[in-house]
Parts: sequence; structure tokens; C-alpha cells
Amino acid sequence: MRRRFLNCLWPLAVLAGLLVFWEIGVAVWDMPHYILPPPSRIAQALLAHWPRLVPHALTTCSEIVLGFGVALAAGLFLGAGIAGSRILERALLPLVIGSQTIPVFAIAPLLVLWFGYGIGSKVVMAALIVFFPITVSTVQGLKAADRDLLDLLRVLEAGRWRIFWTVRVPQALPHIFAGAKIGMAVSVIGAVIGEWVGARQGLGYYMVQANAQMQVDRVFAAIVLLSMIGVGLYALVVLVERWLTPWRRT
Amino acid sequence: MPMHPPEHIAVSGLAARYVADGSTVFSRMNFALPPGQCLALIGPSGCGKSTLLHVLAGLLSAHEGSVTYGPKPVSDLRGRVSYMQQKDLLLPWRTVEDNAALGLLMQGVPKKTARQTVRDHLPGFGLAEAAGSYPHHLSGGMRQRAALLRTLLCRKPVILLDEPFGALDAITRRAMHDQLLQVWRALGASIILVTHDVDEALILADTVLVLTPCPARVQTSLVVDLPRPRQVTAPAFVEHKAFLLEQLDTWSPATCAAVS
Repeated sequence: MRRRFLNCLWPLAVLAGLLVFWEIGVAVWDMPHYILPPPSRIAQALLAHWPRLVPHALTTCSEIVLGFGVALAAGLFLGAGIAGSRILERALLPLVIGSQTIPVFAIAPLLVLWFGYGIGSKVVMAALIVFFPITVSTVQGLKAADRDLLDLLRVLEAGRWRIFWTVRVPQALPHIFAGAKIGMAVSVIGAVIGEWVGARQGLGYYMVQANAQMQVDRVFAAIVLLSMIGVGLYALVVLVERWLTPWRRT
Repeated sequence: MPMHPPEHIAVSGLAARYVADGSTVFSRMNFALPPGQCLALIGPSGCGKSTLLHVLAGLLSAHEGSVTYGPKPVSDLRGRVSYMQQKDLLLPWRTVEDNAALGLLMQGVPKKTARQTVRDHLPGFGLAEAAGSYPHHLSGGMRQRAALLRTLLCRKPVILLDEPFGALDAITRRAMHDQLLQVWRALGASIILVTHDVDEALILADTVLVLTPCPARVQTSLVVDLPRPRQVTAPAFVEHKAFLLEQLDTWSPATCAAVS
């Protein structure tokens, strides 16, 4: 308990130190507020614009969650297929890996063209980014099964499906969650870039608007919210992981 | 769920080779195991005892020779055996209780019944306290006992045990011998036991085979016709032991190297 408390305390202390340095630095070097506002001003902006920020945050949050969800479902499904069939592996894995050479940001304008200014294009954007780490980690996890454990189940005459659920899936879970954690972190990027390119709602849209008016404190307020959403959703994935892999708790 | 009673097992001329270099692991392996009896295999490390069990379990294929089960020639005993390997092979994501119940669950026994059966046996195996623990929280000895319990509870007519007590201290080992004898009597299964321990072979087995090293063959077969429970200090036991040790002493690591 004490250890966990300290684990939280250290990064918070470092963060506080940085904020203090920032606050003092801006004052000492007399930085204009439209270039770099001090943390106190950002906090004020966050509070003052809170009612306007919340709907934007909710939009972005749902884009992230939907994009992540779509990618998770597709990644698990495709990953299981690739891990389970040599033909699918040969046919699809090179394409999945090759698809990563196309920067998703490069096709963002196309996505907006195809899926519109609404939430759709951002969900697709986030999903396209998240899809890769989840698929690859699922394939890796399902293939990581211990040969001897598989033999054990074979001697017990367990069928393929039984072996899949009894050995392969539990063994894959830690891998899949490693992929999901990366996926959740990049999902935020997907949604925001999508909003930058073309949107009517969302924190990315809000940031572009504020930036154009040189209201940098509002840009920072949106960034703070965005990072809070990111950390919160990441923590959620960690919680689900702890719940689904109880044997890994120490 | 009733278990099919075991049938007579006959192994003749069985041989296996390493996949890697094609060298012979064991050859001309001949033995018979009447239903409900225990056969112990002893011999130097690396002489192919584990490979033999792998072949019988159907995890490797024999190069030549035949196995019959009852009247039928079979390629292996898959479906009729439960097999305890040297590694405990407990599933890390299952508690001790659920690991021990694995064999029953795979046979379609309802979860509740399977767990109850396991719980009835846990105290005898010194695992009553550990029922809800995950394997990595247990000592090597406890893990091995959990694996043994899982193997015995599979209710297969033939049980293959590869050094099932290797990780146990001498005292626990003796207690486990008693447990094994007790469960075995209730099951009526046939057992093939691989061990390094001459005492263990003589305490448990009806027949002891001494294997030669590299490649392994049957050197001697000893019928142990002593009533159970066996006393390690009884004159007949001591006599058998002296004979087996003498047989094992004919092979030293040097001769093994010369043969290969």
C-alpha cells in the first residue's frame, strides 16, 4: 500500500516541479501569454470554458472509444484467423504489416471526404491506427502457447476449440492487453488528427479554432482535457486487464 | 463416470529415433503389462525413458515395433492414458483446484462435480490450503503433487508417470507413495512409472525393468512379488534392491560414451 502510494507520489511530484518551473519561467523571461501562457492561466481557462469544453470532450471521447472498440473487435477476429490458419497468415499478415507503411494521417483528408465531417471519419481514423497493434499482439499471443501445455490437452483428447479456450486464449491475454494499451494511447492521436483535418465538434476542432485566434490558453486547456481522457481510458484498460488476468496479480 | 477397466498392454520391438539427427533413442523395447499392474522403468538419465512414455501417449511416433492394447494392435495409447510429464504443466491461469480438475472437465464432467471430487482428494495430497492458489505461488513439491492429482483424476485405464516424485523431499515422497497406492487401488488402473529411485520402484511396482543406456533396451526384468504395503527393511525387499543396484552398476557414464 505504502509502495503504491509512493509510486503515485513520485511522478506527481515531478509534474508539480515542472509546473512550478514553467510558472516562474514564464514570469522571469516575460513570455507573452499568446505564445506560452503560465499553468495558472491555463487552469483559469479550463474553468472558465468548462461548459463549452465538455461537449467537445464528450465527442472526442466517444470517437476514441468507438474507434478503439471497432479496432479491438476487428483485430481480435483477424488475429485469431491469422494465428489459426496458415493460409490466412500467408495471405493477410504481409498486407496487415504492409498497410502500416501508409501513414494514416496522409489519408485523413480522404477519410473526411468519404465519411464526412461528423464522428464517422474520426472513428475510422482511430480504428485504423489501433487495429495494427491489436492484430499483431493477438497473433503473437495466440501463437505463444506452450507446446507442452498443448500436448497435455491433446493427451486429454481435448478438441481444437477446447484447446483454444483453455490454453491459447489465456496465454494470449497478456499479449493482447499489451497491444490494447498501446492501441488506447494511439487512439487519442487518431481522433484528434481526424478532427484537425475536418470536423464541427471535438477537442481537436476546438484546438484549431482557439489556435487560429491565438488563444493559446484555450489550446492548452483542450490538451489538458485530452490527456485526462487518454489517461482515464488507459487506466480503464489496465483495470479490465487486472480483472481478466487475476493470476498475474502479485 | 465409470472408467473402462484397463486391458493387457504388450509392447514388442518398439524403437524410436531422434528427429534431429536420426540417432536411436531406444530400440527393441519389449515388455508386457497385465491389467491393473504397475510397471516401473529404471535406468540412467537420458536413456530414453521419457521418450518411451511420449510414444505411448501418442505425442511422438515410434519408428518400428508394435503396441497392442487388449486384442487390438494400436499405434499408441492415446485416449486411454493420462500422462504426467516431468514438468508439472499446470496451467498458470487456473487455481490448483481447477488445474487438478482439468482431466475431469475435459471429459465433460460438470464443473461442480469435478471440483467436489478434487476437494475430496486435496487433503490427502497436502493441498487443502492451496486449493485457491495459482501455481506460481506454490513450491515445486506442491506443484508436482497437484500435477499428480490431476493425472490420477483423469480416470483413464492407463496412467503414465514420469518421475512423479522428483521434486519431493524424502518424507513427502513416502507419504505420496501411500497416497498413490491408495488412489491406485480405488482406480484399478495400469501404471507405467519412470523413476531413478530403486526404492520407489520396489515400493510401487509389480515388475521393474532395468534399461540400458544409449540406446535404451530392456536389460533385466524383475518381478516384485511382495505384499503391499512393502517394508523397505524386509529381507526380500533388500535382496531385490541389491540385485537392481548391481544391474544398474554394470553401466557407468564411461561405457555410455563408448557406446554412442
